[in-house]
Amino acid sequence: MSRSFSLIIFAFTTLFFFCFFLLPIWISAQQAFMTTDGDFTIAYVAEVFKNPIYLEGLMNSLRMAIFSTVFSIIIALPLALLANTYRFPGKSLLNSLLLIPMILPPFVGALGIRQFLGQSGVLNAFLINLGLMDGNAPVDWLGEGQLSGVVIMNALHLYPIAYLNLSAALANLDPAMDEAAENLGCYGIRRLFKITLPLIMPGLFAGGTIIFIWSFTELGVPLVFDYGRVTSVQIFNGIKDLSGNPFPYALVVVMLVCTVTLYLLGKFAFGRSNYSTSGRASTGRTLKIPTTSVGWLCTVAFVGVTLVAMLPHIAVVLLSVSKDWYGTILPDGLTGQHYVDVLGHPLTINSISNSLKYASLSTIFDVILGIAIGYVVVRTKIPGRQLLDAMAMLPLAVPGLVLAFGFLAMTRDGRVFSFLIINEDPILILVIAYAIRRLPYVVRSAAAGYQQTSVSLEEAAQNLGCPPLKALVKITLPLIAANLIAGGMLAFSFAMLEVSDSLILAEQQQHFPITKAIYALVSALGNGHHLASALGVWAMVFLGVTIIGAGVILGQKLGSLFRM
Amino acid sequence: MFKILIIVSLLATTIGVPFLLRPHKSGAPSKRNSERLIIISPHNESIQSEFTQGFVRYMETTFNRQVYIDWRQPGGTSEIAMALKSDFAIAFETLWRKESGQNLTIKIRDSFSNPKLDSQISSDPTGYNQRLNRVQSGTQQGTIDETAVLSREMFLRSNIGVGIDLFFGGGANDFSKQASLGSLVASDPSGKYGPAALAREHSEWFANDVMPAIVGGEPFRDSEFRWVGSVLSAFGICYNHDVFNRLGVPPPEQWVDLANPKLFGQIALADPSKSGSATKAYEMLIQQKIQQILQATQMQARDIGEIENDAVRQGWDEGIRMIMKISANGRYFSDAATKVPQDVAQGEAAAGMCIDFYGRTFNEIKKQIDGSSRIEFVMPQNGTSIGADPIGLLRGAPNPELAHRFLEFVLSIEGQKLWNFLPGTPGGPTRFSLRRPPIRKDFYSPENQTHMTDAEINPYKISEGFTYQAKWTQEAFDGIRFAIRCACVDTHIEQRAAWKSLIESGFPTEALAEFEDISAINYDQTMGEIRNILKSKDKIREVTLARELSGSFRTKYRKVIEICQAVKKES
Repeated sequence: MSRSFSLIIFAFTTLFFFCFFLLPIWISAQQAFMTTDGDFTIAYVAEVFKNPIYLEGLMNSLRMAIFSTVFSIIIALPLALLANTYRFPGKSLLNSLLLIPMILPPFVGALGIRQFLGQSGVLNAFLINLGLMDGNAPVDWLGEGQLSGVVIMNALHLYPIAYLNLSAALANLDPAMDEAAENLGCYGIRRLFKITLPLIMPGLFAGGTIIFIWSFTELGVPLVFDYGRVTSVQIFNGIKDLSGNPFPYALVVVMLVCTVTLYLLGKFAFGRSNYSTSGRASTGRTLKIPTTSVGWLCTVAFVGVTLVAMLPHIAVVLLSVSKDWYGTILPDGLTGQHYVDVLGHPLTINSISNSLKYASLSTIFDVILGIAIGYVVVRTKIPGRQLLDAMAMLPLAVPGLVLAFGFLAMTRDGRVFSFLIINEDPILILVIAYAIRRLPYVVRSAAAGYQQTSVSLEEAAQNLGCPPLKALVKITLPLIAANLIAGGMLAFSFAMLEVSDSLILAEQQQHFPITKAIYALVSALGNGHHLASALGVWAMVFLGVTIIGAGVILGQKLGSLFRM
Repeated sequence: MFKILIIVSLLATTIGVPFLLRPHKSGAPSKRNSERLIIISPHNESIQSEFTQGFVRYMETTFNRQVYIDWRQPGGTSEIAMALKSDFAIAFETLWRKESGQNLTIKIRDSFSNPKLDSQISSDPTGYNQRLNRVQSGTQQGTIDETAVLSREMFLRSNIGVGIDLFFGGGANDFSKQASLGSLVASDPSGKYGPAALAREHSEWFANDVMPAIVGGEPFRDSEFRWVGSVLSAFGICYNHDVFNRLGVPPPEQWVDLANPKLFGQIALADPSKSGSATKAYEMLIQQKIQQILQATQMQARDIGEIENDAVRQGWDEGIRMIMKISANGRYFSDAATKVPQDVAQGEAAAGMCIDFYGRTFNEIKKQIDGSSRIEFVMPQNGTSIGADPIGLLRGAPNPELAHRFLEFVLSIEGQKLWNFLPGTPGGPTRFSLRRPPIRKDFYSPENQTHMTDAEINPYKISEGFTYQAKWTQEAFDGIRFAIRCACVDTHIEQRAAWKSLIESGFPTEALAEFEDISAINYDQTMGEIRNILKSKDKIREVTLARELSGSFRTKYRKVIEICQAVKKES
């Protein structure tokens, strides 16, 4: 691609980031850098470092991030390797089912976890029934678990991100490399560490960084465990505090700076290895057919992980069909009435079609941006590209409310971006908001794809007279399709489940997405929780069918490209 | 191909089912050709839906007009406060640029909504243009900051709005705050519409036997009619029978019962830093202590003012200590209204602080066939006050006339019926029992009681036993919130750990004394230094103070643990 065209892409993406990421944050956060008289001050930022409570919060966030990432990879890596090596019973379905745990709808997801781990919850009821626990002294898992509970929950929720990225990376790996290693006498574990891992490092880094930043800034799970001493919760509580003190915005800025620093450190330590192999698979990969017992062991491993990770989801499903569920393993009395009620509710139908609209448009937008940013970062030498790369990860780290209120302020009447609200319809700003927040998945996947695909293929095409842009579209993009699909799927699923922007920016009922409808239903009197669960289940079913469907269809079509 | 077919048909079914089941005839009239009323509200979906139907019906039958309500709900009360603040600042910025020709600085943004400047606004309104000219040309007079004062005057004279007509639901504190900021108005510029106009049209509604202005010391409406109460609410205790039985603790009747060490880790609390009505509940707890002490010492032959003076200080200390013990038993501080009763109903917490109608609703839905329910709601006798849940007209309302009609409907007997009539009764709600006590005193008639969900509850009777004394603690309202935040919320981990070691070592005297030492946030401290800093608007000083206070409590809690461990070793 020509240098000037790269520069244009660079300029455009930077401008976009400036307008829809830095500007809204600045709108909210500027007050944390000014005294009441309007002078510049860093007193608020200094307070973060003077107060041991906030320093502890940062340390706990860091702990939460490190352990969640390590555990996610410990879960995902062996499974990805198994799937890349063997054929086993039920593989294509299990491969996709493994991804389902990441789609836990907000608000009701927390109810599901509490239903399962609560003092009168399913786990305790089960243990009491087995006689392993005294009914008069149930364990308070949520109250006692705290940080370790949060880490386990995070890992079980986020390992699909690592799995997706690792699968894509393994799919891109040239089997000839493995064979060459074996020919030279390098087998098993040694081959894994010497050959396979270094070659899939871009994928591992892509998944790992997303999980790391995600869990560094995770809000929902610590809130379920009522664990307050992590930075994300401290910011959330501070912003909602009625005193209106700008201090939490200083905390936001500190957290953003920490995120960038950690990301760049990680990139320096793990992300530099750039072993793109000279070509695509020079030999077709043939999957081994293991002995029956090994095959079934693989199946059991996949089923086991999925089942454990899906316990909160199962609880939500049961909540949605139960009359009451308290102190027992299974609900007392089943009913389908909640579904009839919620699907016939005036909020539901609109919110479903809105969410589909917002999420798919923002995903398309993300994929285009992801291709562009990934290209600039990996393929060009434009100074400042590393910063763009780090910046593209930041949307993961910004508290939802901060960005949402920034967007709200900049699109009000009389403001520069008020044209984004057409006739009171917030669709454009919502799509942009969703796209910005979900961009990191696509950028990471795309960048990993570019890294693994040698530029020489494109150059060859150009030598043969193909114009640079066409060479990118015709040669490289099909080769990184697996990565783009993986990233796009994550972006779409999480856009469907987005909370803060949805609550703040979708003001009128006819513009509500599913998440805001769930929020409204949770607070409704009477059977509100059950109705909200039922709508949450609809969202899970829809995303589940989409993910499994994509896996099954693409698994056939793309074959060795993307082993789903 | 076959697989693709299956997947596509599965997807089609998933999307298709809701479309098939959607309501055929929606209750609301077509939005085209009908007038729109925009309401920002933390009220839950059930309340929104019933009031929409009621109001649409009312407008149709009384005025033959087609209307619909556009509800705005950015979250709870704290999100609404944020949204109003942000939107009014934007609206004012446009006005300020146009009128003064200057940019909106941070200082002006703070001052246009600063009620403290109201007293400095010149009493001569005709001189406004001259003052504006002086600010435009940068030639100020006198010692006061004329630009800041003028920005406040400009805002109060203006009819700039945020595109919303009414603010409906929340605590009286939230509404007082918005009123003093200038977001709420008594009437629109014409003076024909709004709560003040309504009070002229229906003066009989605002008589003492219908809607008194103050009940039990609590304001039921703004003295200037910038907001009026529409329904009542109170904090109480919801608790789970099973958990209390399991722990062998008698069911709670008073706040103090929640401080029982046997309930360690089992109490669900409302967060005072995010909710005015929750802070109010903590304030009531302190007031109750003061009252008790006052009653106990009334017999002494001393000067009554002196007795009261002592009682306030002593009651404050004891109240704060009790709050600390309850907090030390606490699982969390939450601002989500349904979380506490939900957790209690599910046995996740033994008891919690909860708003009356949520407590009653959960009691109802968990009722067994024999009429018993595992979750129960009690209002601590003499420990809770009943507050108004208001409605108010926002400055610059796009449709003040329609807003006026809604105000009129909500305060009419017809509108009041929606709050507590059984669903399906004449004039009652259609689907949900809202279970909230209406504000109108004349509503509680024997005739109406036959249709009510909570006929046995007359809030006016309940509030008789207890009178809120504003002079004792009202000035310390923000201070209470701040003190609880530093001593309990921010340091909750250390506080719980200290309490736990106290329980385990059998409450050694020295350690308990250390735990109970609250000199840093006693009455004089809170009314003095803390209040001054909170009032000064020096936000940086506020952050520093929070650090110092929470730091001192952390140190104290650690010391408690040390003493307890030392005592344990000795024995």
